[in-house]
Amino acid sequence: MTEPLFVFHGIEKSYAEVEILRKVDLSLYPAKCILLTGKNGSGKTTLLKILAGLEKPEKAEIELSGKSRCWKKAMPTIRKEIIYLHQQAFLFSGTVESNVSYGLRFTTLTRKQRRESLKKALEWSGLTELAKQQANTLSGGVQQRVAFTRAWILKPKVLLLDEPVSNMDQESREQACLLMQQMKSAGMSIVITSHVPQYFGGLADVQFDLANGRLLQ
Amino acid sequence: MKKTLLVALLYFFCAGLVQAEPIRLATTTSTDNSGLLKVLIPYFEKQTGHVVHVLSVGTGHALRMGQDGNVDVVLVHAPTAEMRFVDAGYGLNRRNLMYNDFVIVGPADDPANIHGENNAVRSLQKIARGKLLFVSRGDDSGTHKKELYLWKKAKWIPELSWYREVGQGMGRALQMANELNAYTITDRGTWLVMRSQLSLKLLAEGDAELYNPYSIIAVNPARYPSINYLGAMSLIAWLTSVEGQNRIRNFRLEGQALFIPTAIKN
Amino acid sequence: MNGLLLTTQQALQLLLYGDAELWTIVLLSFSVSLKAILLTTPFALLLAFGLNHGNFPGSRIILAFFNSLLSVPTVVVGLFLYVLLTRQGPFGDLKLLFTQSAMVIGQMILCFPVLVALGYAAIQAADRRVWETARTLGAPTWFTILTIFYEVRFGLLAAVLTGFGRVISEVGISMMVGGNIMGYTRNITTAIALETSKGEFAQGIALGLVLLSLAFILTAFLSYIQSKQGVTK
Repeated sequence: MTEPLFVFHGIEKSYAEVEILRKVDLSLYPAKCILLTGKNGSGKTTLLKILAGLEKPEKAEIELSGKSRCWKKAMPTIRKEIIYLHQQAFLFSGTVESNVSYGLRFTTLTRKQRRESLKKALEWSGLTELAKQQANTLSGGVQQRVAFTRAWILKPKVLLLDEPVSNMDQESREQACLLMQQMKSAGMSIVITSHVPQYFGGLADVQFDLANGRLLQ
Repeated sequence: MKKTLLVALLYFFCAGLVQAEPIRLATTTSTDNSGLLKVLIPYFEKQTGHVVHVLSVGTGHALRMGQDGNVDVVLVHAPTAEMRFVDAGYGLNRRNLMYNDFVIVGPADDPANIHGENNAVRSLQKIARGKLLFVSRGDDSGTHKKELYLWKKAKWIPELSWYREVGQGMGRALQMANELNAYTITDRGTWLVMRSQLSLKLLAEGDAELYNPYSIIAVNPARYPSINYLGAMSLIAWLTSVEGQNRIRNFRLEGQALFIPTAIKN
Repeated sequence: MNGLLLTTQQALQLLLYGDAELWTIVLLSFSVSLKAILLTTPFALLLAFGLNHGNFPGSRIILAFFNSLLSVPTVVVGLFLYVLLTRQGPFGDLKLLFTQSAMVIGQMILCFPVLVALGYAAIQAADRRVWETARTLGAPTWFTILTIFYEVRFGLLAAVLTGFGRVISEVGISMMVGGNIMGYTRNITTAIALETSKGEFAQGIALGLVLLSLAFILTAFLSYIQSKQGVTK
């Protein structure tokens, strides 16, 4: 059994006196996919955002190299490895290219390397012809591919996908699942939330249900 | 490309930050509007290398600027106010510079019948008795002070029914008098510039009471250490020099001589 | 009527034949107002951003304060600044009175509330997901702010144009702390005030035409921006 990339302990989160998450534990393994189900409003998105460092939990601990450290101190160091994608792909105004290359400027790659990276990433998801297209003119399915590519290009360790295929037709859904499979094969740890678990039968290694703030297998 | 933009921006912001110390002259609107300074100052600037900033406001405001140390030298035409200014220690080295005169203008048909009167006080009395419309500057300017002085001498307090205090510059006041077909007192300079646009006529002039003397006063440097006193004195020296006085004498407005220099006695 | 046509004709001649004095005045207006806007915009927009995301208790009061300053009479600002800059005043030693710098400072004070209030509204309209996406992709805070600004750029541009319109057309400040010195602190609006007080309407109208054309161009540009905004949304 491989070593987990990150282990989260005891995540607690409340909104206005209501406990959304009660002592949730989650371990993220490389090249493995977790499927997270639960009713609307059960806190799936909140959990993902906490894992990504976009929302602050009341309490949480992260295990790094065997040692347990509090979320506040540990998160800044691992944030770069974890990317969260919104339900309904959110793209910046601009072209497909400018979106996909957005995160590249924060890496240490040279200009040449960035151009190479961009080229390869667009090929990976079949977006090369659409490179100069304005993002807001694309269909939902294509926008999702752009969002995936934008994350893929940064080679994160963990990808958190919130309802990645809701509102998609069958063809787009299959394309998206293909890309997700490739990301998993490349060694990324993927967490998917969905209220239609049937779509991810082949992809998911384990399924959790979030109810009453607790994770159940 | 980015570099040139940055340099251009820097230049835009910094150009003009470093400059020779200017001489700040506060004068009255009628003086400035006559165009005299526009002709004289460039000669002074060329010969001495100084830069003069002219602020033209009402007499009261100009003297106030001197009192507050916001200008280096004042050029006004209000003898009583000037004496008070010097006595209070706000200004030094007052020099008579030149004079011109005021005239009384009014509707072409002259209902008050002051034409040819050439006595300012009697003219005003006639206007008052006839309750004829009269426009006053109402702005504490040299012209306004002269007008108030004449009303006092005429022993008459103007009434609201025919007296209009407009609180504006001389040009504007003349236009308003024109609109209202009213009488008013104006300096000859502004009259010469504007008369072609107006239907008013010059009705009374030449009275010694209408004498309008100009003086130039340096602001007292003891009160504010940063006053450009030497610059001020340099300007005063030039204006009261033979050349300066000659240029004043030779100044023409609409083909007429306007100012008579008084600094040097022949 | 004849007089008006004649004056307008003279005005156009002055403008088109490059009357040097006239164009000095126009350029001065632009120089001063552009400086004011350029210097104010970064700080005002950062403050607008802070008010949006700061969540600190005073933010509502501060915002209300700036909103109330949106239509402060320019003479009031001019008067307050004059009192501060006069030789006897607290900042008299800076010798700023009757300089372009004083005009710039006054105009900065004038456009700051406009930029903050309108900038705040523009930033508030930004999707929360911009912040989250930028952060998760690795953007440091300062770049995230720039990304948000870019996403609401049309709203911000409208704010800047509105602010510019406010300062290029003010006369109360320029007159009081500038002093209307020819070639040095005389801009379009103070020149119009002077020319009309002299009864020189041709010059006044010429300058007025410049100002009106500018106002027209700004307004047209503003509506163009707003239509573009509609498209991208």
